[in-house]
Amino acid sequence: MAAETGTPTTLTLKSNDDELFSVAESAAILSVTIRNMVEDGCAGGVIPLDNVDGKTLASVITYMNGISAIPADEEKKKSYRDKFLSDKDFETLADMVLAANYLNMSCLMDAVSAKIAQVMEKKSVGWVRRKFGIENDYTPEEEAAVKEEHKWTFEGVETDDDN
Amino acid sequence: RGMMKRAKGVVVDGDGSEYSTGKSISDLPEELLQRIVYFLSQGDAVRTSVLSKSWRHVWCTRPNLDFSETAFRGNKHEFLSAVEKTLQRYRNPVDAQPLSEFHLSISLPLDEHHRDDEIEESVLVLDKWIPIVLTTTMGATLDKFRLSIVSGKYPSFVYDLILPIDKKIQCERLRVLSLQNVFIKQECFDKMVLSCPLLTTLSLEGCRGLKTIKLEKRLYKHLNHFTFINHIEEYDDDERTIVVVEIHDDVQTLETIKIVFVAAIHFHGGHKFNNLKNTYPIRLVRTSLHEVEHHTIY
Repeated sequence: MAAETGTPTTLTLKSNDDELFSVAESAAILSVTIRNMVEDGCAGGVIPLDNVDGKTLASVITYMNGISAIPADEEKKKSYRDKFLSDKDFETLADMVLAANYLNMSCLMDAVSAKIAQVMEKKSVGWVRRKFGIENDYTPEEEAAVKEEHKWTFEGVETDDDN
Repeated sequence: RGMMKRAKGVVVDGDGSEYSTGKSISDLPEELLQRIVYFLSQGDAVRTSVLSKSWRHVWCTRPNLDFSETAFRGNKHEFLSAVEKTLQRYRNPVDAQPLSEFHLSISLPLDEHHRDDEIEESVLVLDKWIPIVLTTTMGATLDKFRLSIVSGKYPSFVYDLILPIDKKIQCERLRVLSLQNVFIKQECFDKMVLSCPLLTTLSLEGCRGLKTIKLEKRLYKHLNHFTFINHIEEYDDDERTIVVVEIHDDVQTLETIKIVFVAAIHFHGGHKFNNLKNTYPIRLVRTSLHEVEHHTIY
């Protein structure tokens, strides 16, 4: 561990498309999955992350480094997260939330989930379907029935032709 | 509609513009969809049921309920019936997630527009459901409980919270308790506090029926934030409105105290609250101000 050797310990992570990444152990253990590996002593060589591709892993590591450089200040961390996610499209967000889930990083998982929720806020059903690639498998009658059941939730929502 | 589907997740509009490229949110595992829905308002969450069949029931299992009448566009009857229907669903969980947050904000302004039947209907719903949430297994997983009666007019409507004496309050894991414009008897409040040993946040605004609030370590081992507000118009010389707030300095976990318009306040012990970060000005009506002015929280 870092305290014993005097130099920061570095881990090597391998994505499922065989890209290798070096990351400080202190940042990487934000992932409970990786932390458990370190604690169990199986983080010596290369850590294979079979469910994360290189592009996403690079992004997650940027996040790990960024957030662990911020001292314990929840507000600063939150603004870092907001900024980090601000320019990400849905596809990237979906990859990240899956990676965060796999890596067991609750802070990133929650931040991405909240970001996706924020995008959905007050949006019409049609808009959300298009934006997030949701196929409407209701028959028109079924859809009308579900809408009728929750009629009140459509007040004050953006409308579109599809709605 | 002029829409066709080119490949999984790629939806092409009539004018050929693509909105999504390959990924569908529906491909995310159920637990992640639930997490997303957790962050939505109640209306937005419920509306996701119209997206597609796989979304139909995602919102039903989110662990938080957030009913705010001011954010609700329908009339009071529709609001109350949405509250009832949803709570019913949570009460009979088939695969529902345990409830961790409950927030109900209901508006009952006593002005020229108020209608007795609307108030009556609201009170009936509250009388039925609040005890159920607090004294059945619905409460066993609660982390946050907020009940607000929003009443812009004077005198504000105060809801009389009565919990069955013979029933145990189940919310042992409760950390946040917030009541606004609620009448709660001292015995009932004491029972509540005794039943919730993990409280970190206690907020009482415009509440009546209380005589003494004793913040001491015996009862509040984890309390970080304490708010007690009596609205100015509610203050009068009537003895019944006098509340004594006693803050013992063995409650070392306290970080913020906000007290406005209290009749009497006592600090016990050596006045050392090491963790206090910021406090709001304490305005007192009926106590010797110097006692507070010299306190370290200033």
